[in-house]
Amino acid sequence: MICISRHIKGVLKQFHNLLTAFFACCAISMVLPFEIMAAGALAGSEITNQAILSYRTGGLNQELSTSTSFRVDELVDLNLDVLDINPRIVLAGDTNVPIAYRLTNVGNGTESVRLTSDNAITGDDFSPIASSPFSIYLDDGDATFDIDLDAPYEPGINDPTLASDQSIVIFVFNDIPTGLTEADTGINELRAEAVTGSGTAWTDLGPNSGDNNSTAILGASGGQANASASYLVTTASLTLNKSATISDPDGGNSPVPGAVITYSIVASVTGTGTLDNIVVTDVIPNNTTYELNSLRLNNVSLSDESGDDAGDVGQTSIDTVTVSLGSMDENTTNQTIEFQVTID
Amino acid sequence: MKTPKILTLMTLMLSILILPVQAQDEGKISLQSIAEIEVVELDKEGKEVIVRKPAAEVLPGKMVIYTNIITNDGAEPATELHLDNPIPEDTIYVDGSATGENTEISFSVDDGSSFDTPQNLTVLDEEGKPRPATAEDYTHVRWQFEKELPAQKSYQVSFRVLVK
Repeated sequence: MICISRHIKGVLKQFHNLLTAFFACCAISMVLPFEIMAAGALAGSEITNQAILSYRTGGLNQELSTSTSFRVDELVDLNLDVLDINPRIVLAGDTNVPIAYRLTNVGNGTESVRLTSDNAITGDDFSPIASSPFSIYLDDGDATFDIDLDAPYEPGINDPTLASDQSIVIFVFNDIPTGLTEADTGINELRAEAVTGSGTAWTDLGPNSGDNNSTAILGASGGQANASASYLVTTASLTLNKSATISDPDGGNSPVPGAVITYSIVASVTGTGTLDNIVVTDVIPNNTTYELNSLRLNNVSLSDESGDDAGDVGQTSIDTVTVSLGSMDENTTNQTIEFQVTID
Repeated sequence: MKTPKILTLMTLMLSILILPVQAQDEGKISLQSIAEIEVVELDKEGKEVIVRKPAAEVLPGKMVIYTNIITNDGAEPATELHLDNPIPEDTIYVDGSATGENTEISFSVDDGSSFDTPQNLTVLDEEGKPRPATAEDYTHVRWQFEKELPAQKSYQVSFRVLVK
């Protein structure tokens, strides 16, 4: 992937130059949480009305008060959303590709929820394969997958329990079969059912079926929620081609102190399909110093600062060139990143 | 057609529960507050009719009708009557729902410190600027009775709330 002229190969080797590229399809993307208004009055709570009467009788000021109360029923209502970019771009044979869902308890009680992931959905081109040993993981609250912190889900053993208004992110991992072709789609569906009960909307589950001796009633969702997301097969892949030229102070091309190395990274997409959120990072080699304001993208100068254009140096990551290339497909012109360093 | 049946079942259950609380008798004036919900039932001809049932258990989002009844069982009239009713917690006053014959109805948006008519009430918006108050801002309803309550008579006032 990285072409370096033989002449300077030895010099560059000791610089431990690292080159990495990140694709959106490899990282869990995050979306701002949805604002869902759940019921305000908690299941089983008492709502009390108090009336206070002031009056005069027999020449005296009098005051009198009374109250009446009722109990709030439990509304069993769930909401499920897909958080990831949908569809998720995959390559045939990819393993452990997550889809993030957000489950929200939009009812007014506390609900334990049973989760089921289903890949046998009709209307798609292939069935994703549930990753093993666990396909579903429960997020620990940061909406980012971490195998050490997020709990593998086992139905009936660690069903998530959500208070009213509470949400949890759920990661469903699937493997993509081999032998697929461009634009094939595979659907994953996540189903959530309240353990309290689910079924036809507005079903009354009877006295004491809810929290705090309240009556639980299935809300508009029927106490269940489904969401589905799809995997879209692409055969596109990104190639990064890196080269370097040296210009020494004597007008030659020897890697001596004071010599300037111009690095060039050419990004191109082969195959078919679109790759999103492409970010190229390249660490400034040891024993060299970045030449200020030398970063260029397609022969256009980029500032070293972050936030003003597609690239920065040392801002996003220390001692690192970072350039965002956005989305590319097989028809996108090759993108050329250049920068210069001086050998210390 | 399933909904009315479910509601009817619900109201049957509700009707056997809590009854309104009677205030202590002081000077022969009594005050009673009743909470009711409206449910759809079928009448003898099978037509859907809306009937009121005591509110014992209520779902969020439903409307509750409060009726306050003042009764004078004494021999003397009561004068200078006014009735204050804080909007119950976890409920929202339904705009325009307060009624009461021969009363002047006002509202508070400052927890009962002051009362005024809706068009004169303001609250501060997020930027600290005054804006006209809406029904959601009301904290109290007040009925100021224009007439005395004669002996052996009763008055009643009403308002509605939505359970949050």
